[in-house]
Parts: sequence; C-alpha cells; structure tokens
Amino acid sequence: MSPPQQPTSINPNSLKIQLAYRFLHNLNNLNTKRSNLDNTRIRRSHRVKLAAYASMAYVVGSRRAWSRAILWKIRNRAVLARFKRVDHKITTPLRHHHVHAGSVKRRTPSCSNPKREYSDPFGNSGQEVKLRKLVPGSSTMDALGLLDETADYIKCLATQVEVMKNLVDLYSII
Amino acid sequence: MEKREETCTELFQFGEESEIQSLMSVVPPPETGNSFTALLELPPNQAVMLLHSPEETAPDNFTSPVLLETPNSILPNSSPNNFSLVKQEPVDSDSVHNSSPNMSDPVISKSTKRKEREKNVKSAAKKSKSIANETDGDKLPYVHVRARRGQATDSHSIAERARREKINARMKLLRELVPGCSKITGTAMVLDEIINHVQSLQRQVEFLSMRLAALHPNIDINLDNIISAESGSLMDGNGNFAGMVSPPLSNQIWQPDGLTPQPLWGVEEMNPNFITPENSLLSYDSSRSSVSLHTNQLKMEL
Repeated sequence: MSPPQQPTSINPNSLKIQLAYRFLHNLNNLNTKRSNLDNTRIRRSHRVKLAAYASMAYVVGSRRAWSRAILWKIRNRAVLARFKRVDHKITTPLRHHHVHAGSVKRRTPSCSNPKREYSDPFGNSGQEVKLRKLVPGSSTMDALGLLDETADYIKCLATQVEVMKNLVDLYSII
Repeated sequence: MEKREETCTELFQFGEESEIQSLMSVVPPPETGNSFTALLELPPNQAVMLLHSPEETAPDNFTSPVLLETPNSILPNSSPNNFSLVKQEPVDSDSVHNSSPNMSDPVISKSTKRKEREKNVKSAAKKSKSIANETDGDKLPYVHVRARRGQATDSHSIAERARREKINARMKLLRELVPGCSKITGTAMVLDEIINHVQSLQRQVEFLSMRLAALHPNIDINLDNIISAESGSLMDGNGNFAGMVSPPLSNQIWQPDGLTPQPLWGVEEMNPNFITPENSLLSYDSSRSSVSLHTNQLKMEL
C-alpha cells in the first residue's frame, strides 16, 4: 500500500490556517454564548455566516478597507441596534471613533479624487456600482482602489469557502 | 505659491505611497509595488513616455536655448516631441506663478519644482527614465514624464493613459484570480465575471454556513487540545496520521444531505495506523455529544 499522502510542510502563517483557527474559535464562541436563545436553524446559520465574515475580517485585520468595514459593522452592531431603538439615529461619536481608528491607513477621500466620478470610470453600465455593493467598505474609493479591494476580497472569500467546505466534510463523517 | 510647492514636495517623497497614489496615477512595475523608486528601476527602454519638465520654465527665468539643450542631451531620439512640448509648456506655465525659492538649484531641478502644479502632478508621475541624469546627483523625488512618440502630448491625456494602464494592470491581476476569465477579452465581460464570482462566493459562504449550523449544535470543538497538539506534532514533522474516532454518533446527528464522505474515508484507508499515542487527545462523550477533532485530521484537510 502506498504511504499516505502527507503534506510536506505546513506554514502556520498561511491564510488558510489562520482563517481556520479563527473560524473555529468564533464557532465555539457562538455555541457557548447563545445556546439558550434562538436556536432555530435560520438564526444559527445567520450567526455562523456572521462568524465566518468576522473571522475573515479579523485575520486580515486593518490592512484592508473591506475588513475594516466589516469589523466596524460588527463591533458597532449592538450599539447601533440599541441606538436605533432608543433614538432612531446613529450617533456621531461612533463615526468619529471609526474614522479615528481607521484613518491611519485610510486615504482621505476628499483629496483622492477631486475630479473623478466614482460611478462610471470604465464607461461600463453600472458594473462598478454593483461591485461596490458587493465588496464591503468600497464606497469611498476610486476605481483603482476598488479593483485592489476586490482582488483581496476574492482571495479571502475563496480561502474561507475552502475552510468551511473542509469543516463541513469533516463534520459530516461523524 | 510656496505653500503649493511645499505640499507638492511632500507628496512626491518616496515611500509616501498612499498620498502619491491618491493624487496621481503611478504605473506599477511588472512585478509589484507602486512607489516611485520602483519606477526608477525601469530600464530606459521601457520608459518611452516622459514629459520633459525643463521646457516648462521657458518664459520665466531661462532662455529657451538652455532648455532645448538639456532635453536633447537626455533623449536624443525623441527630439520631435521635445519641440512640441516646448511650445505647449509656456502656455501652461504662464498660469502658474512660481516663486521657486531655491535659486541655487540647478536648472533642471528648478524646473521640476515649477512643474509641480496640481494639474501636472498626474503627468509627472509617469514612467520615468533615468532621473539621476537629470538631477545631477541630487536625489530629487520628482518624476519626469515624457510623451510617447506619436501620441498626444497633452498632460491630461498622459495622465489619463497612465491611469488606464494602471487599471489594466489591476484587471490582469483580477483575471488570474477569477477562474475562466483569461479567455474573455474586454473589460466589460471580465467585470461581469468578477461580479458573478464574488456573488457566487458569497452565496457559497451562506450555503456552507447553513450546513454548518445544521451540524454544529451537536458538535463541540476542543480547541485547546488541537492547539497544543498542533505545536507538538509540528515538531515531529508530520508523524502518523490518526483517523478520527468515529463513535456511533452518526445516528444522532442529522446529516442534511447524503454526502458520501469519500475523500476522508479514502485517506483513512490509506492510513493503517488508526490509533496512535495522540489518540489520547480525542475524547468522546456521548452524554454531551461532543467530539474533538484530531489535529492531524484537520491538517490533512487543510
């Protein structure tokens, strides 16, 4: 019998491994936190999806605008919900906090494109708008930055999908 | 206008990638990187497009013969373009009041500073060629741009062209990421493909999260064991695999679809050593319905 196929080397810093750890960690947290409430399948799947995106964004960190946007959304989700219920508006201190936290690496939109339009630089019909809706945090970027973010987002999404597929395969054997 | 010059000098500093990118389009070198230093490394053959700056200072302090000399010494092969540039530049530079504080700088360096108006910032950041020659050893962080032979020498069109090329470079990168895009020609279709790919990936995440959620409440992952075993087994250098302990739990877990776990069973067949010392990490608790995943199994999967 041929010897089992073993990976020659495992890079602990690879994106996949990091994603896997982070995702498992988030899943565990999900399970422990909310086992009492809301155990319907739909809610659970929604939470798992959130955990997946959160783990993606966490691994990438603040390097990318899309990860920053996701992290901001998640961290302020509870506060936003509370404020929506109470005041029906999003308080500005949150925005300031976010801008302050994210402004280290974020290019200021005001001076980036004094003359360009965000919506239609290619002359294509609304594709860029669609792309902006898909990629989180891409509304304040020119076409070039959008392409960059899309590439990184696709790469991370693909890795996350692979990790989840492997997990599902593992679980479905038990 | 000294303020303007100062801001422009700041922007042109090497390494200030973000600011530079925000104000002008920089053509990236073939491999990676967007800084001006990368531009400098372009061999002279590639940098056919330059907009020569000294010609801009024609009306103010320098006589035209001086200016015409310098372009010729640098790019003798593109002389037809120089003259057209010279004629165009005086019109542009008239609108700029340039006090040029550093009178001691050589002719060319002064002209580069004059060149730094916001309008021409974009054009200045083009493919450069041998800046060191033009700035007589002073490390001035300005990029000279020359118009390509046979193309419009307007600064706007040069900026436009450089921007388009940058976009094309990014599109090439995206085409490699998205499967099946290399055959498609044209930006529009490729964009469609990219959008479809992102949507499909997001849908896949949603679908997989649904499946995981269905499986998840019955399974608890013992991360501590995994992490400790991971560090240990990494040092072993990929020891034997241990198959997963598969207790008779499958009847309790609802499998949402009849997936035949082919790949894993195949791997287990290949591996005769189901039980290794590391199996002590695996725990099976029927009361709590928790199963710990083995590290190597995860590693194998990943």
